[in-house]
Amino acid sequence: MTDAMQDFSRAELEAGRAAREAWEARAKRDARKPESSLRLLWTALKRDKLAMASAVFLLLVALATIFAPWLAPYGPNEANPSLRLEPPLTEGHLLGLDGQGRDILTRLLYGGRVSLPIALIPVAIATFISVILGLIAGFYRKGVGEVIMRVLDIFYAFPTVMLAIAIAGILGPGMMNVMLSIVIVLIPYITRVVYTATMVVSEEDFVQAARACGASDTRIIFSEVLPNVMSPVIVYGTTTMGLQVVFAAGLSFLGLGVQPPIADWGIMTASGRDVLSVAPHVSTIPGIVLLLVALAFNLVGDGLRDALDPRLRL
Amino acid sequence: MSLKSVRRRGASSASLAAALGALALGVSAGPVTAEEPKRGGTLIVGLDSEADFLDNQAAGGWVTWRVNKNMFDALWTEDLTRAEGPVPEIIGELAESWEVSEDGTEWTVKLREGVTFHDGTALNAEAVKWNIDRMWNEDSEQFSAKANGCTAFSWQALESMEVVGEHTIKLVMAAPYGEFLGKQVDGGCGNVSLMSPSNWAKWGNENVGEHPVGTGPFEFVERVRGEKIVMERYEDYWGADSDDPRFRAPYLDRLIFVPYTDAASRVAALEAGEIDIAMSLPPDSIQRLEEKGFTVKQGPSPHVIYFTLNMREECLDDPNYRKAIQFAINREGIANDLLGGTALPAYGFVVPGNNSFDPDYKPYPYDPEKAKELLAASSCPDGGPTMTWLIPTGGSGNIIPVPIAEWVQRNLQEAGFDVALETYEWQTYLSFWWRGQQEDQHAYWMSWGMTTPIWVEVVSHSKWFAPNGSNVGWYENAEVDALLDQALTEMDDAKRYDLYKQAHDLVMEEAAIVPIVHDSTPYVMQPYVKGYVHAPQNWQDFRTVWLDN
Repeated sequence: MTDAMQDFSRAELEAGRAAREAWEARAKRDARKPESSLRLLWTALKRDKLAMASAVFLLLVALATIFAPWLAPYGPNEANPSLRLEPPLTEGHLLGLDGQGRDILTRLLYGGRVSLPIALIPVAIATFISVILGLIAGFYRKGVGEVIMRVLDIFYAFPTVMLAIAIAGILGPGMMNVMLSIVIVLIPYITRVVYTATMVVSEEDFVQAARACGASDTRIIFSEVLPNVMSPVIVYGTTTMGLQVVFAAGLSFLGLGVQPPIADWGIMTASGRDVLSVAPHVSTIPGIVLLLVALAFNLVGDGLRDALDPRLRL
Repeated sequence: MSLKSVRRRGASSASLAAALGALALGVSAGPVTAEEPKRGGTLIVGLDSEADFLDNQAAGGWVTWRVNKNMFDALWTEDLTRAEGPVPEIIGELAESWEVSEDGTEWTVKLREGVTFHDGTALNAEAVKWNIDRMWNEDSEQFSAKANGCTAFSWQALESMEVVGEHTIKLVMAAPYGEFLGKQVDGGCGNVSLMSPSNWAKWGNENVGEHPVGTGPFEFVERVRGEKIVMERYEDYWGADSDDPRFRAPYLDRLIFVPYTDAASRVAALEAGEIDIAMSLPPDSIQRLEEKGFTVKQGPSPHVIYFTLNMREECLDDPNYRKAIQFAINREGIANDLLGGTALPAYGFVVPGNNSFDPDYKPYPYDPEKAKELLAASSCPDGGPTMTWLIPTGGSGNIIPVPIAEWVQRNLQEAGFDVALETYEWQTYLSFWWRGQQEDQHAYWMSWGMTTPIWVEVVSHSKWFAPNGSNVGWYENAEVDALLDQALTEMDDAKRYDLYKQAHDLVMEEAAIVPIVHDSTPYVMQPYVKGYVHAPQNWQDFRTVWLDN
C-alpha cells in the first residue's frame, strides 16, 4: 500500500511537475514580447499558401509601380491618336491603347503610383488616429469615452460612400482631399474595433494586476492593453485596404479624385465606360487589376486573421 | 402715327411657301418619303439626362425644352420640319401674321383663331398678355421670377402691351430690337411659349411644372420622375386639319421620353430595342451602330464647346499668350479623330446655324510652331504658371468633356504651357460657372449656342459680367460693346448680322474665347423610325416621325 501510495504520490508529483512545466512554458511564452506586425505577417504567410501568393502578388504590383518610369514602354501622357482604341496585342502595345491613343500598360503602371498610395496612406493614418481614440474611449468608458463614441456614432448614421462623396465634394477634387475623406470615413469603423478590444482586454486579470501594482494609466494603456488590441486592428486594416483601393478608384471614377490626365485605375476604368461596346479593353483591364489587388488584400487579411486567432495559435 | 405696315410672312404666303417646301422635300428626299407614312404607334426617346420640371417658361436646359417643345407652342417658332439650313426659318406659330411699325417699336400681332389649350381653354389675346405678364410684369399675380430670369433677353425691349381685339395684341418696345424674333424662338433656359392660364390657376407657379398644359401637337399624360415622361397626340390640335406640313398633326399616337443618364446604357437600351431613338451617344459607338443597321442623322447645329480665358490673370492678360493657346490646339484632330466626325472643328464661337456664321473664318489654324513663337514673344515666355482649367465630367451638350479637355491639355503641353484640369459634376460645375472665373481659375469650359446672333452679346458684352450674365471670363472691350449695342437696335437683317460678325471677329482677334468644336448632335434611331428630320437646332420636331413596323 505504501508502495502504491508512494507510486501515487510520485505520479501526482510527476503530474504536478508536468503541469507546472507546462504552465511555466505557457507563462514564458505569454510573457514573450508582443510579436511585431512584420513577424505576425510572416507567420500568417507561412501558414497560408493563398495569402502567401497574394502577398507576393501585391509586392510585385508595388515594385512594378515604384519602378514604372523604368519599366513602362512609353510616357504616361504620350499619345498616338492614330492608334486610339486599338485592342491588346497591338504591335508595341501589349494591353492596347485608350481613347486618347495612350498605352494602357504604361498607364496601369503609372496608375498604381496613385491608386495604391491613395488607398493605403489613409488606412495607415486612420488606423493611427483610431488606435489612440479607441484606447482612450475603451479605457475611460464613462466621460471621455462616451463623448468620443457618441460623436463617432453620428458618422454611422450616413452611408460610408455617401459621406466620402459629400466630403470630397465639399473639399473639391484632388488626391489630398480623397485621402482626407477616406481617413474621415474610416476612423469610426477602426475606432470601434479598437474600442471593443480595449474594453475586453482592460477587464482582464493582468490589467487589474498591473493596476494593483500601481502602474499609471498611460503605462497600462500602452504596455498592457495596446499590444493585446493590435491583432484585430492589423487584420481589419489589411482587409479594408483592398476595399479602400476600390473605394478611392470609385471616387476618381466619379471625378472627385485625381485629375486627368494623371493615370489612376479608377479614372482609367471611368474613361473606358463610354467606349465599352466598341473597345471593352479600355475599361476592363484596369477594372481587372483593381479587382485582383482588392482580392489580394482580402486574402492577406484573411490569412492574418487565421494566424492571429488565439484558438489556432495554440 | 405713321404706320408703314410691313406684312411679313402672312398666312396665305406661309401656306404657299409650305406647299413649295413640301414639293421640294418630296423631290429631294427621293424613295424614302415616297413611302406612305403610317399613322399610330409609340416613339420612345432616350434622353441624356432627366428633364427639369416642365414649366416651359422657367425650366432650364436644352433637355427640358426638347421635351416641352412637343407640348407648347409660342407666337413664333422655327421651322424644324425641314433639314435645310444653315438657319431654320422663323415662322409664325400662334401668330398668324404680324406688322412692325417703321421705327421697329410697335409690333401688332394677329393670333390664329380656333386654337385651344389641352384643357379646352381658348387661346386669345388676353391669354397671350397673361403669359407675357408672367414672364415680364413683376406686379402680375402669375409673375414667376424664374421665368423672368430665363426670358429676360426676350423681353428686354418690351415697354407695354395692349389687347387690341379678341385675337390681336400690340407689343410696344422701348427701342427697336432687331433680334426680337430670333430670341423669341430660343429655348436655352425657358422659352416664351404659352401655357394655359386656367391650368395655372389650379396649380400656381410651384406646381404648374408638374402639370404642363399648352397648345402643342402633343398633350401631357404622365411623368414618373427618373423613369419617363409620357405624352399623346392632342386630337384638337389647331393644325390637325392643316395641309401645311409645318403645322400638321403628328403621325405618332404617343411620345415617351426616358432618361438614360449613362451614355453606355443608352447605347445598350437602343441595341436592346428598349428605345427607338437616342441622342448624345459616345462618338465611338455611333459608327458601330450605323454598321449594325441603325439610322444616324446629324448635321450642323447652333452649338459650340468653348473655353473662356480669365482676362484678369497674369500671362492671360497678354494677347500673344492667348493667341499661342489658340494656335496650339488641334481642333481637326479632336473633331475627326477623337469625336469620329460627329463634330466640326470650331474656329470662332459663333455657331453654325446662325446668321452671322462664316464657315471660312479660320484665324487660328493648328500651328504648334507658331504657338511656340507667340509664347516666346509673350510676357510669360517660359509658359507661365500652371493654369487651372475647369471642366464638367458630363452633362447635356458636352459630348465627352474629359477626353476632349485631355486632348486640349496635351496640345497645350506640347506647345510649352502647363495646364491642370479640374473636373466637377455638371450641376456643381454650373454653379461655379455662373459665379464667374475666380482667381487662379484660368479657363472655364462651356457648351452652348443659339441660332440668333445675339449669342455674341450673351458671351462677350461687358454688361453681362457674371454673376449677372454669362461673360464669365471678364472680357471687356469698349469697341465690341459699342458694336453690340448698335446691333441690338438695328432692324435691317443684313446690317445686323454683319455688326454681330464684326464684334465676334474682334473678340476672336483678341483671342479671349477659345472655341473647340461644334457638335453635329447625332441622333441614332432604329431602322423602322422614318421621317425624322434633323433640323439645324438643338431640339427637334417629332411631328414628321412615323414608324414602319
